[in-house]
Amino acid sequence: MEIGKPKRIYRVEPLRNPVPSKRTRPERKAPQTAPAR
Amino acid sequence: MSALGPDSLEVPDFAEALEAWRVWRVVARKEGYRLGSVVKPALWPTDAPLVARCLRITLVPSWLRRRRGKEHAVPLDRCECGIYAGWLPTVAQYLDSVAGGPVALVLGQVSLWGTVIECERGFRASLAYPLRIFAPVEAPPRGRHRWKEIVSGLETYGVPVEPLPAHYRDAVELVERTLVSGRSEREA
Repeated sequence: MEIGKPKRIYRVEPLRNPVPSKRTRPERKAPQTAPAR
Repeated sequence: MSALGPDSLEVPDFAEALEAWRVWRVVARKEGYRLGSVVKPALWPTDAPLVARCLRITLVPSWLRRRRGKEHAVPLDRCECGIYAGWLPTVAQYLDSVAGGPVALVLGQVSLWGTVIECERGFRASLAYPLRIFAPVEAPPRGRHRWKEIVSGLETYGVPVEPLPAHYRDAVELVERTLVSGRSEREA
């Protein structure tokens, strides 16, 4: 990806985990089907 | 905010993940549909962040890298490594076609954290996870794949997956319009 030259470097430590936990994930509408080949 | 350089990395600059945009390949795996990077052969996990590796040095055996002192923190400002994400207009060029194998392409926002290098039009990060996914459902997926199943399959990432009534070429513009109108409604 063409994002240009580096400007600054940051240390980012989110207080809240950006990965949704299994508990908080919305319930799926339908079971996941294997993709057609 | 830190100046470039490893000495300035001890105190966090942000306590929230940064957000930017990217395009993903949709890949059909036996366990379901998954997100893959467009440029590099990385598959995004569904319950953990994608952890950046420097793919430039992976052809050299690890014992040799250690001996030569070639292993480095990822991303590194003077390398090109890291998980890329950009401002919304910069991702449009990656929504051209699905030639070359992916089932389809999707775009979306991504959370970035860990070490993040701000660049002129985006970021390179050490850790990333999708935040919101848009599926341009007017672009035909490859072969017998259908958007309904793809959208449903990508919900395994636990983030919103929204059908976008657009072809690839119009997707960025429609997302921009949708975000602007959503912002105006909230501000009204």
